[in-house]
Amino acid sequence: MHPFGDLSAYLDGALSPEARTSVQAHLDTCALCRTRLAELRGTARLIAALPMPVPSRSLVPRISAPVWMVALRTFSTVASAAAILLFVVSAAISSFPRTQSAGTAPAAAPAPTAALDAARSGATSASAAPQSDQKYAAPTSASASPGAAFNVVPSPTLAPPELATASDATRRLDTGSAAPSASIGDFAVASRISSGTEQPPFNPFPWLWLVLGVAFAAVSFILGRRLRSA
Amino acid sequence: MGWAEPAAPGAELADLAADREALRVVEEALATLPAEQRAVLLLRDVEGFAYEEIAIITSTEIGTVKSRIHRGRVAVRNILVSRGWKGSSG
Repeated sequence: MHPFGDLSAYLDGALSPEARTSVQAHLDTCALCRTRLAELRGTARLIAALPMPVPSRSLVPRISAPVWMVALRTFSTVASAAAILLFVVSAAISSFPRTQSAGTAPAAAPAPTAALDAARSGATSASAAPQSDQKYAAPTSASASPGAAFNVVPSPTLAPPELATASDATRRLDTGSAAPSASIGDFAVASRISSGTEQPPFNPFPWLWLVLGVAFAAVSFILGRRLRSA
Repeated sequence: MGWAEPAAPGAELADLAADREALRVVEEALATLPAEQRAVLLLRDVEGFAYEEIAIITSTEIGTVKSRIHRGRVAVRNILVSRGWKGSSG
């Protein structure tokens, strides 16, 4: 049994002492193995004598670059690009609301204005009801019904001006309801805009994406250098 | 004062030519090897690393280094022999 597999290691002095003496003993008796050993020695010398002042990088494979490193680098490159894209998009979105809220607020305003109008009409009807009550109550207060008197005690003195102002107000509300409601609507819009402009500057998401993008880019860069040097 | 004659005239020049031809064949042979065999051969014979060092460099077992070096050398030797190399002349 020829120890062919051990000849190279024997040549390189890489065998254990026992294996080495065993191969040595075989070589003493086997001309074929001596020839093979001589051929391997000659081959090794030729390889060592190769004109390679600068070993070509292409000849040396990427022996120490694990697969996960390549995969992680690809992932971080893509993730960096995605995060920066998200940063741009979210920055654009968060910078829009100032103009966007100015655009949506008037559109949203009619709802509160309508609510206000409804409340106003409710108020007018409510104010109209006491008026009619007072109209009816005034005679009953004259008749000195205790409950009615309790209800309409101030009415004899206040009723005439109150009626006038109330009816005036109702008329004003009926005729010019657009004006006050619009002014209140404007106020609502103004408050909405001010609250809308307050929010975006504290929105951390665009910067979070930017930080993520830069971090991933750094990881990708470091891994790329590591892979190139490997 | 003439030129010193070689022991066998032209023998050294012939050896030199044979060596250059052998080197060319070795280069070709290395190019045909699997990358991991080529790498360990260059690390061993060109760079002179020990087997243990090559095992660390290539993140493999020392037994793997041993077998790769041997298979690579035998492959190069086989190609040299197939091109008429007489072996052991180096």
